[in-house]
Amino acid sequence: MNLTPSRRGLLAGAAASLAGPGLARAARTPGGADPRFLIVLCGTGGCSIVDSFLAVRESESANGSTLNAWPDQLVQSPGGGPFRAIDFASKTIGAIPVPFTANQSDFVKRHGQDMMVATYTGTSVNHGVAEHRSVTGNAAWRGRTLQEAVALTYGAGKPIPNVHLVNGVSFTDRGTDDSLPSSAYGERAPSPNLWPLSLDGRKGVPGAPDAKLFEAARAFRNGTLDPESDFVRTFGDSVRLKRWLELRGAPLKDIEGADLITQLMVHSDSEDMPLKASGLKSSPLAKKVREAFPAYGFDPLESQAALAFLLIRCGVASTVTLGPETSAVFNKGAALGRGGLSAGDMRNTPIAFDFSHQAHREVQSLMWSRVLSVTDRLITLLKSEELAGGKSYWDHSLVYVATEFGRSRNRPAGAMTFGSGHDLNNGALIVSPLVNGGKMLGGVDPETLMTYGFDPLSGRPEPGRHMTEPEIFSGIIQALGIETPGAGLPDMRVMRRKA
Amino acid sequence: MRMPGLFAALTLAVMAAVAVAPAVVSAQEAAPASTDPRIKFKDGERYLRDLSETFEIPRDEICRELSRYDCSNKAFRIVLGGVDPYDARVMQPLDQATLASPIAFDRVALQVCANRVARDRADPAKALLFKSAAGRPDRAWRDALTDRLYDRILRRDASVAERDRMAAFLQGVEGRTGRSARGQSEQTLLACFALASSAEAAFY
Amino acid sequence: MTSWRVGRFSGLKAWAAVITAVGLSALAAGLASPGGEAVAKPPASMEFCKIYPTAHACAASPVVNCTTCHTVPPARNLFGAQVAEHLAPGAARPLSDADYIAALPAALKAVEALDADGDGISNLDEILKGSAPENGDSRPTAVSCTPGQTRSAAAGRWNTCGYDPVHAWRKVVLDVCGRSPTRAETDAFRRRLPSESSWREGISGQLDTCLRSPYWLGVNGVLWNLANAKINPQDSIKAGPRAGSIPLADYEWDYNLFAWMNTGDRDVRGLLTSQDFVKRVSDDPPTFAAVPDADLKGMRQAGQTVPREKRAGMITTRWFTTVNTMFTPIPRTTAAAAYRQYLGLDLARMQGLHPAVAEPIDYDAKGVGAPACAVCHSTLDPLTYPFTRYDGIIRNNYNPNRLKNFVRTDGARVVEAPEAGEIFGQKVANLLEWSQVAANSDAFAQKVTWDYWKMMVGREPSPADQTEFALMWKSLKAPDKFNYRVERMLHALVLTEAYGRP
Repeated sequence: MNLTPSRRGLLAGAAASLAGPGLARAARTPGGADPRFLIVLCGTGGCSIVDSFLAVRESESANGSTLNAWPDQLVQSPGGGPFRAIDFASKTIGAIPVPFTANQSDFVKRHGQDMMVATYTGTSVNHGVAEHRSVTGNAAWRGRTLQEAVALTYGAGKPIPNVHLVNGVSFTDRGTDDSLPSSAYGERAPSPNLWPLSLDGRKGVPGAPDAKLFEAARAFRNGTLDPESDFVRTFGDSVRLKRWLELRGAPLKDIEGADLITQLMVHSDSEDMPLKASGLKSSPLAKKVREAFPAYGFDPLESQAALAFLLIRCGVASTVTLGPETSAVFNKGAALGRGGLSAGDMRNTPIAFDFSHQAHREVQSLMWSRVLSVTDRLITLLKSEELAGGKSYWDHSLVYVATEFGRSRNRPAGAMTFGSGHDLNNGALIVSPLVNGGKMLGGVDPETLMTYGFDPLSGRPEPGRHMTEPEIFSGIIQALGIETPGAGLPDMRVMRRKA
Repeated sequence: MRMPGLFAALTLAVMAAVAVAPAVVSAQEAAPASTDPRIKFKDGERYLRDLSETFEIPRDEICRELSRYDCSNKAFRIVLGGVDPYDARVMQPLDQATLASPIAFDRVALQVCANRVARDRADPAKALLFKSAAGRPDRAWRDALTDRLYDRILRRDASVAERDRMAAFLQGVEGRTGRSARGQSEQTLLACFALASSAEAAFY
Repeated sequence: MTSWRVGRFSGLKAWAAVITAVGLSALAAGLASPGGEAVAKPPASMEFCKIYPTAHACAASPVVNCTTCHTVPPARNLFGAQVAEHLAPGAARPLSDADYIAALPAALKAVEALDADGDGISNLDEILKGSAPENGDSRPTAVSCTPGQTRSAAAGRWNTCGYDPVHAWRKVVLDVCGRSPTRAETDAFRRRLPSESSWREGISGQLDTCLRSPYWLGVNGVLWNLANAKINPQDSIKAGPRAGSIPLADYEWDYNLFAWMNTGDRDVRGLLTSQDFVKRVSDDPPTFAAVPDADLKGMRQAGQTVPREKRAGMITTRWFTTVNTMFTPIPRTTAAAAYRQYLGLDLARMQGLHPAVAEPIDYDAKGVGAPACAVCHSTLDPLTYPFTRYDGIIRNNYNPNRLKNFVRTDGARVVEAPEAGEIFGQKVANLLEWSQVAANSDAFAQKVTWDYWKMMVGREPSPADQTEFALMWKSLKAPDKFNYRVERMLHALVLTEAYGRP
């Protein structure tokens, strides 16, 4: 590998090696000149690349009728580029009578130039283990996650560098690199809609004292009351207590100083959210975000995406992790028992992509369509906001659709509805102006529907080669311009833009 | 191997250091700090339950964000140590505090104290925390306030040193709050907040 | 009293990853990478304790955690890397299990005097005293009090030199009743202090009272939340009251059964063996009762459809089979969930591996016979076979001919999957036998105890806690001690130093 270390990179690396565990903050290096933003969008449950951008037509495979090769007419080649797309409509999702229409080709047409698919084969069919490995590259870099690496490199000066918006998945588990400062760890934001209220200790509280008096009370508590109390003197060695006391210092000041209770407030003043009566306000960007994600009030993925945009745009975070959760989500008012479900009423299948165990094609189509729709709107928002020098936030961003694994390829002869299992072989979708856009790295064998790899320097397809989790991890890290001194990561040059 | 009787085993291992009678304290040897402290966070729900009892405010009225969302059950459930297995899929309390946790805790403490002080101002006859000084606030007034706060928040007496510290704080902020009844109520609120958000109030 | 305690302990989950026994078949092949790099060796966990029987981590378990040498297996931590440097130098990799076991003692000996994490304490000292040799923040710390300190501590607010009855009692009220004691209650308890039998009675009586409280027993109470990860509720598919959009089953019955088996004079093994169906009779005070089978008629979606003689506690309920088995013929997720949630063994993390001979057979053609997959599936598949006769979504019944329904989707061979299986290397004819073996295992007792320990003490059992922790779970099993009654165990737990020493 022959990357020229930048001053910023050296400082970030030095900070990483010197900072021990605990709340030592990463050195405040001027990372603002060329920031990067990582958006990890989780394909929870196993989103299959052969049910999307590497789809195989039935006519292309001698085994097409017993493998998951799609009917020819459902497989598009938008714009004649390397990516396939499946546009599919169905009256049911397996045994569930809920019609839907799914579309992938629109995304390819709009973002094909920034799309890159890289095939790989994972190492675990267990959800939790595989989720974690998809963001650590299976401990490629001392066990740190992609999100932690980005927070460490680009999070300096940001109040909450790494935010986890999705719940119940291991894409957001901490990495195992204990050398990282805890400022790089992910911050859970479990309820995106109300979470901003937890970011200020005083604003909006009825009868609150003025800010100076409030800070005087805090200073008394932090500087006198607690340190001189028998309680803290007796239990001061508690890890929990130490963390609590440290969080009340600089981290709290940073968060409150950024007025995040306002900046991240997506809601407008309403009966359900009486902001004005409490002296609070919506974010200046709230209207724009609500228009992009109108279901933010009840659809967890849209509320996550709304907040994800604000976190990046308002300079709060350098990385966000969001994704469909494992509960079924329906349109408001929809229910099976009330006269049936209308088209599109099921927005998220139970257990997300993993419901493919019951109805593979329907679930893959519906959920890919969902994930791509949210990604599209997020990209549109990021493109619409200038970061600096005529470049948008999108120009500095990378979306990585992380997932556990692919799905099994066989099906009963000619069946459209069937269940699938977990399969290690798959491919990753990465969307970014920072990567080698418009590129399909690797390919698929039409006789087995298994993907195969590529030469990491030239990109030449290599049937028989399987790319690994560390290689995909490295490619993303390098595309993001993160220095990795001593990590021994492979050079995945072809994954970077202008390779 | 025969296992010793359970209680006997525990007694041997544990009871040796229990001294139940007051002892003469050596001036040279103070009680050591805990070398393996296992204190736990008093999650939002228990915190509010405790204060609901001692502040004599019904549980469903003591803290509501935007006047609608219960601070523990709804607004700050997870960051204040609760669970939500049904929607948020958080099965167990978070292993460690988030960046938002102490901020949310401060917010809850402030709301609870402001709630109590507002009620005291509205109905002085039933006041529990804020009681207006007869004239200018003096040391006696400050000590009485301190005693009430320690009694209701930490459920114990304040020590002499704790009274001194609180009195110094109250006197220090008086320049900004003023000495009027309103100023005194503000001092009460600030002192209440400081104690209600202290480490001893949050952990056990 | 002096005990070696760890100053700071982060990341070690010794009890979350108890490996009760590890098969010694050739697992290495499935774990080796083509480049001959790091290879995990599950047999090492048991061998380690044979080499260091007095190590703190081995005090109450015959095995140590994989994280003794690894971060994420097979990647090694600092200590593991040192050991690897001295392991059979020059020998071709990967080593066979036999060669590895033969070389391990010398390799460990070679690094005893070294200091992998650079904290100034030798590897051997850390191993023996229970801190982590790969973690510089983990150090053993002497916790002895001088006689003067002991006297001062006893007279102070917290007796940091030993068990503090007031501190413990207050914790009981908070942990189990969900509130702080009033000043009057505290004063009353303090008056008991001069008499040991009196304060013990005070703690015991308080615990008994609180164990009946809605905070402990009620809906969304402590016991309820203890079961969250095991039951995995999802409102979108809930049936019964507050039904979701697609009502399939009602998890509240599972919570009732869980509370029932964890309370009173009931045998907690019923979590895996009970044939009762339990309803909640009232919320305040929370009370439960077993429902006669005749009363189950008409409770189609909410109820229990497996006939009584085929039930196995929590692992055959309508909810459990709905969310885990779903429509799967060979429900590996179901078996793995039961193994993890009730026995504390996570196969995905290489815990509890007991490879069966000539397995996996791969009756449903999922490719689990590939070497990398067989490492775990040689345990998981025979573990799963007894579950194959229990339907998932919609039917939720015991059906000996169930697998015929899956020939079209999973191949003709799927009907050959037997009902007989294997758990802990022991053959079982069906799920009832499976659950008996599981419920009577050390792993079950350890898991039950571990769950309560973590909740009450506030952390997983650390190496410093092992003596007391071992006493708890072994006594849980002992007929003349707790005899599988959780509440008896809790009475003892609140008297441990781990709980009651500030």
